[in-house]
Amino acid sequence: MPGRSLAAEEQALVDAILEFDEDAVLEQVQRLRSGGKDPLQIVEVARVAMDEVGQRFQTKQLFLTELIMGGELLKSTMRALGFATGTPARAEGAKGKVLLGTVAGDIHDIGKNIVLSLLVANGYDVVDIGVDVPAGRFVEEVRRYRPDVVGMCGLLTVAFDSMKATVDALVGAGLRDEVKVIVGGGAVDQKVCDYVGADAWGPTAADAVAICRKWIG
Amino acid sequence: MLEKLVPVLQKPGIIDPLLRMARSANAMLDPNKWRHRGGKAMRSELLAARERRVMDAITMRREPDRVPVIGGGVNFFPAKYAGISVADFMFDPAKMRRAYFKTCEDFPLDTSFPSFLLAVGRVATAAGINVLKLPGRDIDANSSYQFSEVDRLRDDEWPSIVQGGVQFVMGTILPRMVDLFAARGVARLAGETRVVLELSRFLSTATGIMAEMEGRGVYNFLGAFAFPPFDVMSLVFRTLPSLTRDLMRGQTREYVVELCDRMNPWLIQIYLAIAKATGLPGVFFPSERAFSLSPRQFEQYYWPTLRQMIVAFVDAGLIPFLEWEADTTHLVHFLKELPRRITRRCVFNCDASDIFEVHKILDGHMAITGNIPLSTMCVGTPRDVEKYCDKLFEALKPGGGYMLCPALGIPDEARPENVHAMIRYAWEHGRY
Repeated sequence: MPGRSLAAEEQALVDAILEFDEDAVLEQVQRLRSGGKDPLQIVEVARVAMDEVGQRFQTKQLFLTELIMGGELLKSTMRALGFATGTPARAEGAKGKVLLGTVAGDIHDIGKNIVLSLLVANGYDVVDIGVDVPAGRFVEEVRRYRPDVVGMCGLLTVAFDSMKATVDALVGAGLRDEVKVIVGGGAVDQKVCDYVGADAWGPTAADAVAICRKWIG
Repeated sequence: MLEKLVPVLQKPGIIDPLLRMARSANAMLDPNKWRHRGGKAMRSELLAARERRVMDAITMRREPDRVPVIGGGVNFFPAKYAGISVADFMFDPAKMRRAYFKTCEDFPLDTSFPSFLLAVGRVATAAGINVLKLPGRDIDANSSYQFSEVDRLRDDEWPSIVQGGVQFVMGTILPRMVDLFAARGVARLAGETRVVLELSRFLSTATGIMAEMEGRGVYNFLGAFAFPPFDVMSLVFRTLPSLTRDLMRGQTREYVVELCDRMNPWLIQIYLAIAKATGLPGVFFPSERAFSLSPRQFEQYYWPTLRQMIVAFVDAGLIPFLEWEADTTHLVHFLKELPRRITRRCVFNCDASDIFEVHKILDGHMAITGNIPLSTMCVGTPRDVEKYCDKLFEALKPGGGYMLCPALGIPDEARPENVHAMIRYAWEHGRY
């Protein structure tokens, strides 16, 4: 799909997604399907739209609700075409593996879930280990899944020490050199990144994806 | 010369005000001195000076004597500073009281958030309030309480809530928020008795602390909370992802607007009654979801009811403290639609917005506070705090209408030396 210009009816689907109108999106999906378009190609068109949503979000032309809507519309498109929309654990042919969780003491998951849906939309194999995850559990899951990247989220300031404890636990378990660590959410910035000993931080979900792309393709 | 001056100074009405001015200046210059000088008069002067300073900044009627340095929004910093758990702070009134006053004594802020009002653990547990996850009960004892976000209004119930209104909320939604409302018979009666008992304990502790604050020179102007309808909907009724899906669909989009409109008069009445009961002028207006909306969405779903709410509170003689979480730079211009008679009775608490841009947009329309990054307060050094304060003061101090404060109040995990650095900075550089 990259590099190819879209046909008019494909562009209509992209436009409907960028208008964030589910009825219009489903109508366009149906129209493409009736015209004999391959379902996988239709999903790819939706992914193109989702990429555009991510880029416009990064340049502050779109805002969080619209980013969530984009992810939801991608799911609606997949559902309408009969594809499963759950997290494809250990997906075949995935670009790389990312382990995601909200750290101990924090149960916020909106940011984590947005990162998850963007990573999945970009072809990564993502394992979501939930919220309020203690350092020891991160270590266990890193041992089990052997991810390329560990993503730690947290909205509250209590998350700073939990993130640090998690990185320290990875060091203690001898796993730190085997993974890249990215942190994000709420008040996380470069200072926090340095404090916890992460490799990078992402101010937005789209940034997190860009960083993963840089690390693991 | 001196012989001539002394009798003049000894005339009634001259020496006392001068002495008072000298004392006030002394107290204002040294954040620690007032604690050691003692005396009720000294403390009431301190209280009056703090109140005047804060109100001058908020109303922008004149430059205050110096930039107020304040504690801002919700926080459990007193618990962390005093070495008790957040759970203890919320459930144990004696420990909470000691922690609160220790923090007030050691950090002489011009006004701080009344954290003692957060000690509702026992009341919330007696009532079975499940909207909040409480430390020690549902989550780690050292974490702040957090909203438990689930869809208490289900996808297929939109028509019911719009048609049924208050009756549906009372009969269906409230029992999903508060276990006690789902109980019947003896269990309900026993539960209500426990709630009344715990509530009276809570109120007795809170009113005791408020009375004691005055004697200790601790100034606080914030009392009640007021969440705008959209936030009530997305924190209590629907999760943000579900509400976002609602906004993608024609029919539910209309329901969202209608429900916000219909809830607003009720919410205003309830919040006003609570605010008046506290006897305090400031009302804490958290906007937790505004940041997620585009200007077009904000204008459609959020602003109309928030605007009504702000006007109603100011008309009732109250001061909305507008804490807009995350980056809301793209929405701040809406506040300029309010007339100055309203905005000069409000405070804009800037979290992660571009405060310098916000300052330009508001252009003297409304007082501003906040913005020292929480990361700087928690993992930075006193020098980092000072450097950030330098930037803030250069742009925001001139002309008044500004109060120094961390982004969303003093974060729970703030390093005490950083809070001291912020206070010291205001004392040393804040004079007008």
